[in-house]
Amino acid sequence: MDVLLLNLANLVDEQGQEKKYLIKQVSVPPLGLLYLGQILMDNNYSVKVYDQTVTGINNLELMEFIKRLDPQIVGFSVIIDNLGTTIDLFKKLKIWNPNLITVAGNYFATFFPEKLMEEIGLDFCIRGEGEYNLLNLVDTISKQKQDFKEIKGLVFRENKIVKSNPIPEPAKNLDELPFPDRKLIDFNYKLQHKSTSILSSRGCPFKCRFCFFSAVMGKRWRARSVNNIIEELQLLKEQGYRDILFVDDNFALSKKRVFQLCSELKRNQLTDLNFSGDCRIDNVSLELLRALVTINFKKIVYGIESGTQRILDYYAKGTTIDQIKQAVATAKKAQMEIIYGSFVLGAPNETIQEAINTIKFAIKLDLSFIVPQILETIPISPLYQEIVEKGYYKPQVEDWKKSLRVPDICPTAIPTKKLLKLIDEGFIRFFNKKKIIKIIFDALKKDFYINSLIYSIKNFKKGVID
Amino acid sequence: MKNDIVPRLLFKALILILFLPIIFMALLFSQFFERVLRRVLVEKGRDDVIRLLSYKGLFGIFDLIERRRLS
Repeated sequence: MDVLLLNLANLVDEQGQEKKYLIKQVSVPPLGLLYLGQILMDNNYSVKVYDQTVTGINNLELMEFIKRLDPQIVGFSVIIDNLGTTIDLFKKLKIWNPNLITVAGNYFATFFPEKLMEEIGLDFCIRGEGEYNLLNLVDTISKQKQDFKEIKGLVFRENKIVKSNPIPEPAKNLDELPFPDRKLIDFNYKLQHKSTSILSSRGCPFKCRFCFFSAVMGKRWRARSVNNIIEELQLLKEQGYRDILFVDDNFALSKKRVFQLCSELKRNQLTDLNFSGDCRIDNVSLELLRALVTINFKKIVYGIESGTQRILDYYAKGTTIDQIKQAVATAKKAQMEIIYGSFVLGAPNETIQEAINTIKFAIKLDLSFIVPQILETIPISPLYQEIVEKGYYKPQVEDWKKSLRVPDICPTAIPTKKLLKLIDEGFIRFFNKKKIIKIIFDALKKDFYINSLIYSIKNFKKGVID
Repeated sequence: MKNDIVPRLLFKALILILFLPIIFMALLFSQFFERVLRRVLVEKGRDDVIRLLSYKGLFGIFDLIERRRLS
C-alpha cells in the first residue's frame, strides 16, 4: 500500500482563490510527517512525504505528481495556513480518484475533526500524536477491515455518521520512536549548510495564553534520553547535515539534561554541527548558555513577547522584564552569536503606549533580530472564549476556517492597521544605520553572518522568490 | 623611535584603507536595506519577509530584491 503525506503551503485562500506564493519556505523539514512516514516504512508500507512549502508548486502541478505516484492513502498535515490549499487539493483528488482515502492530522484535525469531515469531506482525522494511530489505521485499511473503534484518536464515519474515539495519551517513551529518515522528502533543505530539524523533547507545562499547540503535544514534558539524541545526531552528521534546529516545545526545561547533552556532544565529537533552538527566558543561566556555546549552539531564540509587565502577566508568560534583560545580557556574556526575540502585540487590553514601549524595548535590548507578530486566536482557544464571553465578538460559523487576529475581533485592542504600521516602523527602526554597521562589523567575526552572506551571493540567481 | 614610524604609519594607513570603505559600505547598505525593506514589507507580506530574514539573516535582503532585479 502506497501512502503519500503532504505538507501543503499557503497557496489558496479561504474563498478558494489561488494566491501568489511569493516566498518559498527556507526552513527545515516537517518532522512530524517524517516520524509518521518512518513508522509506516518500518512496517513495510511504501511512503513518500512531499513538502509543498519549499517547492512552491501549485495544486495542479502537485496533482500531476500525485497521479504519477498513484497512492492509495493521502495524509494531510492541516494547520490554519494551509487549510485553503488542503480543501482545494482534496476536491481535485476526489475528482481524480473517488476511492482515494484521505486522512488529516496536526492541530486542525485535533481541534476541528468534525468540520473537516462533514464540511470538507475528508475520510479520517487523527487527533493528538498520530504516529502509531496512523499505522493502526493504515493496517486496518490494508487488511480491508472496517473496525475503526479501537484506533485511538481516530475520527471516522460509521453509517455516514462521524464518530470520534478518545484522544490517546501522548507517547511516554520517546526513545521508542524510530529516527525519521529525512530522505523521505526529495528536497535538500539548506539554511546555510545542509539543514534539518530534531525533536529532543515534546510537550510544555506552561500555560501561555496565546499558545494552543499543547493540545496536540500535551502539557506533560517528555524528553528523549541523551544517548538516543546523540545516536540520531551521529546519523545526521554521517548524512552530511551541518545545521540542526531543535524544534522542541521547551528545549531547556531540564537544565540537567542540557548539560548532559552538551557533554555527550563534546565526547562524541559532534560540536562541528551548528545548533540552534528556542529557550524560555527563565530557563537560561550563564552556565547553561556557556555550555551551549561550547557545542556550537550559537543561535538562540527567546520568546520575549512583551516589553510591558502587565501584558506579560496577561499572557501568563511567567517571566519579568528584569529576567528578559538579564537573559539577553547573559547570552551576550556567554558569547551567543545570534539572539532572536519574538514579540506578540495586540492583547485585548494593550494600550498604544504599551505597544510602543514593547517596540522600544525590543530595539533597546540589542537583539540580533526581532520577530514581531500580532496576537491571533482560533475558536477553541481560551482567548477566543474570553473575547466572546465578554461580549466583544459574536462567533461566526466560518470562524474555524480562520486564524483571527485579536485586534480584528476585540474592540478594546489597538486596531490592526495601527499595529501593523507600528510593527513595520519598529522593524525598520530596529535595523537602523547604527545597527547595520554593528552587524557588518560583527559579520567579520561571526560565522553566522559570513555564511549567510556567502550563501546569499551563491544563491543570488536561484532565489526563493517566485 | 624613528624606526617605529613607518610600521605605525603603515598600520594606520591599513586601518584607514579598510575601515573607511567598510563604514562607507555599511552606510550605503543600511540605506539600501531600509529602502528595500520598506517596499517588500508591503509588497511581499510582512510575515513572509520577517520569516525569510529570520532564517537567512540580514543578507537575506538580497533574496528579496532578486526578482525585482531580474524583472
